[in-house]
Amino acid sequence: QTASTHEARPGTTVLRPVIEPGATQSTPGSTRIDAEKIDGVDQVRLNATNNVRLQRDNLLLNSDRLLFDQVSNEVFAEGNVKLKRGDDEIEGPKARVNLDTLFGEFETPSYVLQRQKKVPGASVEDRRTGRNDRSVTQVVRGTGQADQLMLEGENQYRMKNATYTTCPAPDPSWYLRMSDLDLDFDRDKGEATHSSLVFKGVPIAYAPWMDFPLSGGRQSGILPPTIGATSNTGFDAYLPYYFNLAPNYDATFAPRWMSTRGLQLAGEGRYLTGGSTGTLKAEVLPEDKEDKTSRSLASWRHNQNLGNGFTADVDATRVSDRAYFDDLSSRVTATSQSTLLQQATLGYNSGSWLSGNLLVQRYQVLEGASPYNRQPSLSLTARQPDFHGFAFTLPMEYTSFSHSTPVPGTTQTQPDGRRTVAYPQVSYPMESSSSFVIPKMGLHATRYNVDRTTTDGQAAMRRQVPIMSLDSGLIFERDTQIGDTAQVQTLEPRLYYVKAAYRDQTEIPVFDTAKADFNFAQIFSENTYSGNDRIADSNQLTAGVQSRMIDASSGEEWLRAALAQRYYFADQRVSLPGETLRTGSTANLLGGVAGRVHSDLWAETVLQYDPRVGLWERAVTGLRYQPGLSKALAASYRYQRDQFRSFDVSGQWPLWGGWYGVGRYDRNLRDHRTSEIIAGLEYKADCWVFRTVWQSLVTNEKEKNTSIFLQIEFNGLASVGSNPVNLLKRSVSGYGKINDPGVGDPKFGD
Amino acid sequence: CGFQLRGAQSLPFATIQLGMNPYEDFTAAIKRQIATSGSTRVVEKIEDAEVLLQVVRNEKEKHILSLTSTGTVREYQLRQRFSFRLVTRAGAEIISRSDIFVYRDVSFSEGLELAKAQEDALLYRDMENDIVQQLMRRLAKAKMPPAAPEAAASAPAATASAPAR
Repeated sequence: QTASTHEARPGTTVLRPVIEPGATQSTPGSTRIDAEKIDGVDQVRLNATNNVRLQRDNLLLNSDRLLFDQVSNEVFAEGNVKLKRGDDEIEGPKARVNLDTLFGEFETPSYVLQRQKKVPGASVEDRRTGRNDRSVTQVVRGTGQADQLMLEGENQYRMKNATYTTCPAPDPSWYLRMSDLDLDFDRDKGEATHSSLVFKGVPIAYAPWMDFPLSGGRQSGILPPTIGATSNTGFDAYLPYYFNLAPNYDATFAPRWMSTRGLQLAGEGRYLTGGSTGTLKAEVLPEDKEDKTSRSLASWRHNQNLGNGFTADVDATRVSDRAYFDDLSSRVTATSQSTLLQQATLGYNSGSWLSGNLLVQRYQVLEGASPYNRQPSLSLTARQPDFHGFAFTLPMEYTSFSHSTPVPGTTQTQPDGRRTVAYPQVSYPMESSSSFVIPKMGLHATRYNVDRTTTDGQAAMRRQVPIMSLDSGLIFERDTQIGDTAQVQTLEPRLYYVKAAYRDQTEIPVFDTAKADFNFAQIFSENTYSGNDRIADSNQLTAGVQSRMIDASSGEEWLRAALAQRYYFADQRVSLPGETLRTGSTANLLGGVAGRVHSDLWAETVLQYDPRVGLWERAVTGLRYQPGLSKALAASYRYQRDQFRSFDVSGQWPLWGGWYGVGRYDRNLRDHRTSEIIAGLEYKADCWVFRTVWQSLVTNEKEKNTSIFLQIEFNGLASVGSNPVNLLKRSVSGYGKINDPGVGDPKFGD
Repeated sequence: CGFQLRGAQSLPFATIQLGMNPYEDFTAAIKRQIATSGSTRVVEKIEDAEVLLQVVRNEKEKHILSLTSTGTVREYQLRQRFSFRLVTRAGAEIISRSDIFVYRDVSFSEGLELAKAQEDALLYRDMENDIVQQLMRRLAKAKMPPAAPEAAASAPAATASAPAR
């Protein structure tokens, strides 16, 4: 029971009886003390005993006994002292606090510090745009004990012989034990000396000095190490350290120890200035114990906004030798590369009638045939989208094509050369909400200058191809009902006719051109080739129809079906070297369905049928069932006649307790080889996660690389993705990181 | 079977500001589509807009679909994910964060990098058209909050010219 109340304002101290017993509100800056007994000397000192409760602003102090020195504004509390400040709570037998400065100390306290924290997305992009939409709000609750705790202002704590954990008390699975600990919530940073990480009662790591994030945010510190073994590198341990150097640049430094290869050093720096963003990366293995050479990688990506519509970009990666990724990487995105790009671009686009870019592009060839380098390539596009209803476009391009030194064992049959292309086009689009008709005409003009190595063939050539097309379509709709929800179904027929003149192109080299895939985008475009070295002689009509199912209340499209076929009015005459000429009037029939077929079930099918020979040319079918986070199963079958036939299943599913299974099986049925197998187990405890992943990946004709990764992640100590997590995100459709609900899009998988 | 030619596609707001790079072809395509509605204008300044289209993310990604027996890429999937929100100038959410995800498969072969890069560009244009179409459908279904009296007083032109839904 409250017996009396004392209100103290700076400079005034008045003892007065309780006005509102039990009231917790007090005016800012004033101190209110409730206790069963209060006595003392007015404006000098107060003694409060039994159920003492002191409140000042958001600070609340409970204790058995309290001495309040009004001259220094300090309180001395004893017996079951409990200090609450916001969400922080400190308990101990004895404490001293200055109410003005919020400096003070506790003896042998235990503490709970809690902060609500938005954890931002992990990419530079997020920080550049300042968007926080990928972030997840997390309550981070750190608890521990100390021999002594010093309060050092609003948001700072300093402790001696302390423990810290984000696990719930009283028996944490892991904790840090430190001789000195500073927690600075203003800077979101913890610093410690002589710290040991104790997991299940066993110290597993020691650092003489370390810092760590208090909220799981972006902080300098050790990232979760990856420990594993691979068939190419032996025992493989990767210990990244993250330097949060400034809000606009950071760096990761990662030593990697491979028992059969040696010590590799890797570094990555990301930066961001007013007009640019970029990433620099380097890896060095000074002496590969197996190959007896030094091996390295360097990479630079840079985007710069130069103002007035000008941009400059660099994208360049180089490795010391062609087997670099096959030997040292377990990531399929690295091992599957056949070339590495080195490119610099100067772009211009200010929204005016003219845009363009200047490009210098080279390739480092790792495997197989080599593409041409473009040194340089200048392209400009002039545009007038609406001139009395007419739309004018003029793309122009000049490129100098050259080859790198041929890969040993291959022969270079194609000559170098220079090409200039201009393709003026005019169209008259007539569009309404229910229909469109777009007639278009153009003249594709090209000039070649070829460095012939033999006397055969011309050096200078010109080609002019007039092309005209007519694109038209209608949009029908009807209202329908599925279950209780109103739906709109569309029916969208489309007709596309294209005519292009025949020009003999057998003398023209092939710099950048190949037969384009047969797909819905391609059959409604002018040229069956992608690239400018072959302009197909076309006289053909494409007929297609598409239907979508749209939720009537949200406008969300959830299912789509399409069917299309092309009819030829003439046989093919233009071809690429080695290509068989097509005869006959019908092309393949193309059909597809994709979307959500049931609440948690997505399906996709694409079929391409050749009616002339009566064979399926291409078939893709896939299913994904994803009823929730970290619950996803997917299967797909992909077939292309004479090319490939593969089957892929992947999934992640809760098994029992905190255990989750995750895996993938990708089989090349045509060559009877398994491309990739992943099998993993994840265990989610209250405040830590364990992962083990085994992977087998085809790296080249004969070899496979098998790897095993182990990882323990302590929640709140670090939460940046590392090797097994990235691998799972890439390979398992719908993978959700079990201890981070922000990763893994419930709908599409991330 | 009940199909009829689609009627006029009006949007339930008079002015919109696009939080996107104005020079990109994708932005230009969205502008053109909004202009075809006839009754809605794209404005440059946030102060002039009744609603704001906020792009949460617009990411392109190349995902490996299948490998050859030699471990190089045989097929890619080009993916684009466009996430957006529609809010009033005052910040009230009209359409909460929504995703439009489109993808296209494309084959790949060593040595054909230059040709395939141009094919990728064609497919990305096709995907962006697809996103624009889907976005327009969703914008047309935006449920505008009832006009608050003070909003009506401060921006009479905007509320008065808003087309009936």
